Amino acid sequence: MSVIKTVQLLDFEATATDSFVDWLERTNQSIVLSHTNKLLMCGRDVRGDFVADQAPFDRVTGVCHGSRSSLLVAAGHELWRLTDALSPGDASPTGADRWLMCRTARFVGGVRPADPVAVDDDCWFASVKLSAVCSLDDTYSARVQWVPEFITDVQPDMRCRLTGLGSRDGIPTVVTSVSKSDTAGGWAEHTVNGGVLIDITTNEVLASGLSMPHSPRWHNGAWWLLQAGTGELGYIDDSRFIAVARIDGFARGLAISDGVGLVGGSGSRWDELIAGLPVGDRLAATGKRPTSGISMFDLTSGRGVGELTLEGTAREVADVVVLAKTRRVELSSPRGAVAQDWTTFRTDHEL
Amino acid sequence: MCDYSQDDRAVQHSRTVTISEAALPNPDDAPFTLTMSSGFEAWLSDNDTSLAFALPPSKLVFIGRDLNDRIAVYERSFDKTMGLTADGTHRIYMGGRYQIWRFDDVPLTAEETDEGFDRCFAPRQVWVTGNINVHDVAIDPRGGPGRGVTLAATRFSCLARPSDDCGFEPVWQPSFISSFRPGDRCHLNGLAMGADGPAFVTAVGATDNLEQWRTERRGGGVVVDVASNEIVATGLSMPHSPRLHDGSLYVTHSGDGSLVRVDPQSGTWTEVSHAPGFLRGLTFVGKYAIAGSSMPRSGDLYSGLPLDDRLADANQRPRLGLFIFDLATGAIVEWLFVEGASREIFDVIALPGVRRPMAYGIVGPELADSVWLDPRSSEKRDPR
Repeated sequence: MSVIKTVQLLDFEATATDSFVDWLERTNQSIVLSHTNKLLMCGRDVRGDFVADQAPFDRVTGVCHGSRSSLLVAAGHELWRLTDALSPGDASPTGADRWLMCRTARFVGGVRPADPVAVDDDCWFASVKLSAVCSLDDTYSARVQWVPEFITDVQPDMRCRLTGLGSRDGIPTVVTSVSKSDTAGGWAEHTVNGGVLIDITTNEVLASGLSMPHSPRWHNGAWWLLQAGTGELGYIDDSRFIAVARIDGFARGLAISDGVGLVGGSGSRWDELIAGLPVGDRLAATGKRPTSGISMFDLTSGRGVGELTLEGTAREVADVVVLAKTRRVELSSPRGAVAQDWTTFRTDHEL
Repeated sequence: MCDYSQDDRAVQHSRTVTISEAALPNPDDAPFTLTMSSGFEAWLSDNDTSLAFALPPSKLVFIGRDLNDRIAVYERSFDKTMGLTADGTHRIYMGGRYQIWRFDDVPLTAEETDEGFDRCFAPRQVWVTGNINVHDVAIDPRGGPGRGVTLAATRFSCLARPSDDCGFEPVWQPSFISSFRPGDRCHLNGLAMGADGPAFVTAVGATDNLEQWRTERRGGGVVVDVASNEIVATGLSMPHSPRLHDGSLYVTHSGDGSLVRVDPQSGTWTEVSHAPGFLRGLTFVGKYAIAGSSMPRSGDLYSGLPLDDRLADANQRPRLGLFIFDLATGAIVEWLFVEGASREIFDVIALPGVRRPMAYGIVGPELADSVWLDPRSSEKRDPR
């Protein structure tokens, strides 16, 4: 006897290892990651089975937690703030226990915000185009907050290629940069080992010789980061990068939770993302293809503790965040039906 | 004085500007034609102002003047253009189908300045309210949450603020609404902002049931004092756009095709002037009132009103556009008509002192690719 089968049409295929799903269940967390022109939400349905949902956005370049349990999403020229549409204990129409809706966006023009960090109700980010750390501004595209010492003029010409912004105790503290180039597009000559980690509060270079460093995160008294060019996850100890684990792909997007590092992996279909980089050479030597998805590592042992593999034409992960106390998150896109036909407000009485 | 009532004469003494397809940023947009009274351009010059109006479904239209003092039109497309308000002359807010946009004055290029542009409004923020049917948008001069932006949230029969945390924040409801719940119950559409915050609202009916206001379109409209939550004027047909100007309260008596002055103390209202159209959207420049004029269509929400009788009696057809009234004499001094696919004007604002405004839209790459930098951006700063 035939049955009716209903499927959502997706342009990707997500495969999670049992250990990945076990981790979600054990920690009762969900994962939001960017996947080129959408966000992917990884969680568990009411039966506990793994489920990956999608929400279309313009090209996503960063995701982070914001004030009052909001989520900030940098997508194209828009910086969105998503907030809860459910009170604790409620469920969304799809059975999610968290429902985030787009509430407001600031427009930053063509500055290319990367790795946003919330500072109270403001948002700081690394502007890839401007080679500067910026915050939101009412009038100008962005307010320049910090410029590397080696940048002589702030212009939208992508000089050193800032890639990441890391905060410590809520204060933006370090940046990762692909290079110290001061010429337009000059970063491209320094992808193999020109990368630096800089303390923006002191201008001190904390580490150099890195290959396309990304996603600096303060954890357990050290700066953890990814070397996208080698596919490595590690931390900085006395100006040295100590590798803890590595992936077969362009490592970008790092979240740390419960002693586990969640590393975003990208690999374009044509491999141009990793061509000429150490990770590209390594994979070419072994005939491997770059993988796209999330790799989980125990930060102490470096042991892999879970994998999410994404197949499809979109193969770029820019950022990963973990949502605590969330079995499944539903997330509405800026211009979809939910944005138009649903609203939220606070009330003290039953309607 | 212009005679708009006889089509031949109106055309004879008018100037026409066609906004051609080539000039439109969005290829799907229909062109429209503006026809104006012979003194309209001089009026803009004499009063040193430009105007902007919302022309649903999609147009925000700026009316300025070029270096030769001829009319200069600039328009951009949005997902429905609704309530419009200026916060000074450097910031604009506009309501849309499910969004509120904030526009700020961004730097102009040298070429733009050479062409006479002296203001550029670019979308800098959007709030997603959901489709709460935003009508008037006004700025509370006291500020507060949501930058003081206050909305007539018609689908919730309330005044509201945009919010960074929720779709909107309800702030006030008329006392004839029995409880806060969704639904357009009284068609609360207009907000007059005073120095101490929201002062008066207009509603099409003092009614509490879903869409019940539709039965009140002829003569059931009210003006409500926000502070006391008391009805201060009754008997109006679809009143809109309450505004305080020079100590007086004005309301467009839309269903009657007239502009009225309301005395909240006595509860009386008197006609200042009338015009052939459903008047909605109101702003002031000195001794002049500028009102938007929409066209009722047989069987629609704007038809079956006293305005129909007025038009029939005078053998006039309704006009889409702007009328400029002299508040002292009640005369229509100038007008601007819009010919095209649109049938309504939602709101109008004045930008005094601005000669030729331009704007960025949200369609296409122009906003996404723009970079406006503070000239001091290269100065090194201490991030702490």
